[in-house]
Amino acid sequence: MRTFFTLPMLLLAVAAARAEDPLVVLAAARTGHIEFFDANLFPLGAIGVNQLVESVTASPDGRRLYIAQESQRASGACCGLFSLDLETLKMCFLTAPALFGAPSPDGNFLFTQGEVGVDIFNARTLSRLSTMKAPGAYNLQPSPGGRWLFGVTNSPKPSLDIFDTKSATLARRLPMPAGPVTGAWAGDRFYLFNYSSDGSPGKGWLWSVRPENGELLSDGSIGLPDLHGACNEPVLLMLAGAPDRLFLAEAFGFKVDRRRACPDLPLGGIYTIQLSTGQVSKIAESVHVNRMAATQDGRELYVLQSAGRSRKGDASLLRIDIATGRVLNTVALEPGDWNLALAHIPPALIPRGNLHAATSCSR
Amino acid sequence: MKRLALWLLPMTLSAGQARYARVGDFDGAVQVQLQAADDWQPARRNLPLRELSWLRTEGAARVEVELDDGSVVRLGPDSLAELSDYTRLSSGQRITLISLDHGLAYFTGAAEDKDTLVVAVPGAQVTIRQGAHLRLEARDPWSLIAVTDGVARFSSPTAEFDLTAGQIVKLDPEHPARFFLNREIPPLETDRWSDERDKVLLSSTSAAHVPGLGYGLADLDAYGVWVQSGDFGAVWKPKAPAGWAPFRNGKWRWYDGLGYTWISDDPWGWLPYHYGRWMQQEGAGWIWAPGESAVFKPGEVYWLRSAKLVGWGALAPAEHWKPPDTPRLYLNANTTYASYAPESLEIDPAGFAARPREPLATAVFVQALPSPPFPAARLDAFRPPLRAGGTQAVSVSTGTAFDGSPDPRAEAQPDPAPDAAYTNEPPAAPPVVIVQAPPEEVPVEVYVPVPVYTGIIVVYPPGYKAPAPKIPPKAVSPPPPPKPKVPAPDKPVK
Repeated sequence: MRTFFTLPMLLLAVAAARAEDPLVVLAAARTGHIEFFDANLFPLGAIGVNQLVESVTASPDGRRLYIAQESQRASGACCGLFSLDLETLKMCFLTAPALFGAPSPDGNFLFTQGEVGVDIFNARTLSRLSTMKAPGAYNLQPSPGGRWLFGVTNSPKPSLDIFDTKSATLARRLPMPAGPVTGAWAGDRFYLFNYSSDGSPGKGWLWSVRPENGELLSDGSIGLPDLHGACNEPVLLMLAGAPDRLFLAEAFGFKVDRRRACPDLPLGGIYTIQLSTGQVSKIAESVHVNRMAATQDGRELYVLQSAGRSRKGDASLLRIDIATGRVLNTVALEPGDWNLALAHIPPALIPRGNLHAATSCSR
Repeated sequence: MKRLALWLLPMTLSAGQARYARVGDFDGAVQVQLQAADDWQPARRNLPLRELSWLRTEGAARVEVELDDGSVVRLGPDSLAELSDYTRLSSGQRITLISLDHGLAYFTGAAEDKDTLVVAVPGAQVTIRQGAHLRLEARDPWSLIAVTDGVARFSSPTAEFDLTAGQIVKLDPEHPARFFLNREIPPLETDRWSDERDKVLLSSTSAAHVPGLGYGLADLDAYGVWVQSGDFGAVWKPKAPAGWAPFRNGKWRWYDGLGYTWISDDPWGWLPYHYGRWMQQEGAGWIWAPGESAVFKPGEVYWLRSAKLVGWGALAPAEHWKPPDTPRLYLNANTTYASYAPESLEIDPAGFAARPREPLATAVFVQALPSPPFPAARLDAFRPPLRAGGTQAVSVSTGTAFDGSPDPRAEAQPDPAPDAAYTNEPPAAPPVVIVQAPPEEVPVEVYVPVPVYTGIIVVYPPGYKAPAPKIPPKAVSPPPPPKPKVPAPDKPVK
């Protein structure tokens, strides 16, 4: 009986091992360094990466970072995609041009959009496996199981394109009834959101897709305030997911920033959409979100805040209790552009102090 | 807690396990190619088919393939089909895609809650959720999909809708916007064969004793009896002559990822050789205990091996045997022998006459036989692409309306010449022509002030007039890009 009892528990323990590594908050400065913070936003260390950084993500096992940064190999375009091994601090060039790396949650693949399609890399050997024909410019988000790659595109038309990582093909294109759309995983479903495509102020629309059947289901309308209000300027909207809810926020600190045109309006805050009830509430009303990411347990939200009204303005990192909306911790960052990622990194690989990455490696 | 752990065990073990389908009833010249590097070989009843297996019939031949979820595919004359996707994900979800390249096929089945079950022909595919009986034809140039019972979801590059019982769609893969829907299915000569096979399989009573497995059941009804055993519950006893022993009538074939796998010549020889264990009881003879595992096994036996000879025999239920221990059921009379060469892909006991009198004097027990050599060139093997597209499912666009009447915007298409496959009276109802409605034009986004990869979208206020587009500044000045076929990723402009 002991054997029956322990085998599943052992397997579950192995599966959970990665999540047991400490949560590390990564803030990547565009000026060329990546700062590491613990879950309470206590600074741990930093790694300099020489060139301008466009984006950063982490492998599921926390042993590698994928960094898009300025590169001579990008032939003048931005950027090249690199892998940074946290053990050796060596960086491997992967491809260019590329603006981001999206690792699959099972740790097997790395995806990015290149010049001719979506590139699939073997995340262990860093070799390019194939390039999938991809008729759009995508926000790429792998499915939790790693089999499917969901690509949200609004160009040339709004659609959700589902790529089969096994056969390296575009398996399904789901044209969206309205656009523009943005999307995020919440639990085992992928949600797509559109705001006011029919011209009705304050009306959002949600659709969801389960990876196992690839069918687009309408989750109905979401009641929101009039997001434009008295400010006749474009609103930037971003979406993030936790297991039971979605977070919708206006984005600040980009080239479009309504605070410049409408300085007297109270802008900011994060809307939470409870998926079981559709209930909408607003938290952290004075926070101006630049990037945000929820923890896997859905209890906390880490936010990169653009405090100034320009993209060169003050920046800070916040930890927010989702249930109460309280800001639990804040840490000020150097003024400028930053990027945010959450990772679970083995303690031995977390940099202590200021380190510097080497610029080449052999795979 | 222990109860929970016991409940988790079978799920844990079955998640992600490879799936195999069974070659069942067949007649005539039927051939199988298990993977691209293999030669075509004659089909055998009880041959396990793996993902990407190809199956073809010549002349008037026909064959039935049973899937582990209880679905059945039947190929009619001069046909070729592929088991394009036949996987079980780590979540336990089963994904099945069967592609008909040419010829005639029948499909009967239903998808369980989270499973995905798709059948493809050139130019279209159907997704089965609830139970459905389908007839599929892949001709030149037409593809036809008929639903003889149930409902199936039809998808082509231009339309998606439910096909219900009694409907047949005919389409030209070269012109996917044009297809024909009839409400009467012309009968074919082979329909009766498929209907009768469905009745045989559906009437099986053995399913009650083998929960979780949907294939090979009807043969247990026909070739044996179920009896209650004090030790093992319901067990199955084959109708076999005296002196018969399991794993004797058939041969082993090497499968990558599975090892030497038993292919039984016993007509019922599927479930009892790949699930559960055998037991020899006094008075009852050999009985098969199905067990509780739903994981496909190559054939659970002990092995005896010497330089040029191998022997094997059944392992008992719940026996955790390891060499050099003597297996519980080991007797020389229970052991089957064959000549052995390490490079051989098959081990066939037929005609072997040199049965050793003292096998343990020259042979030793081993857990398994080593792999035959695997030439790396096998990995370079190539097959021509299927007309049905293999694992590439077709995409679907909006704009097609189907209400059973011709689209008023559509230009009526002439009915094509009657298809040669229709041997009986032509259908009475005229075909309904459906043509894709032109999709609404959506303005192409020319300027995105935020990198698209971030997922951040720009929502303009009603009536907003955007300033004249500006070329966004770039981190590094790139040369002007050539006009790409695929929209290039956006440029960072923060």
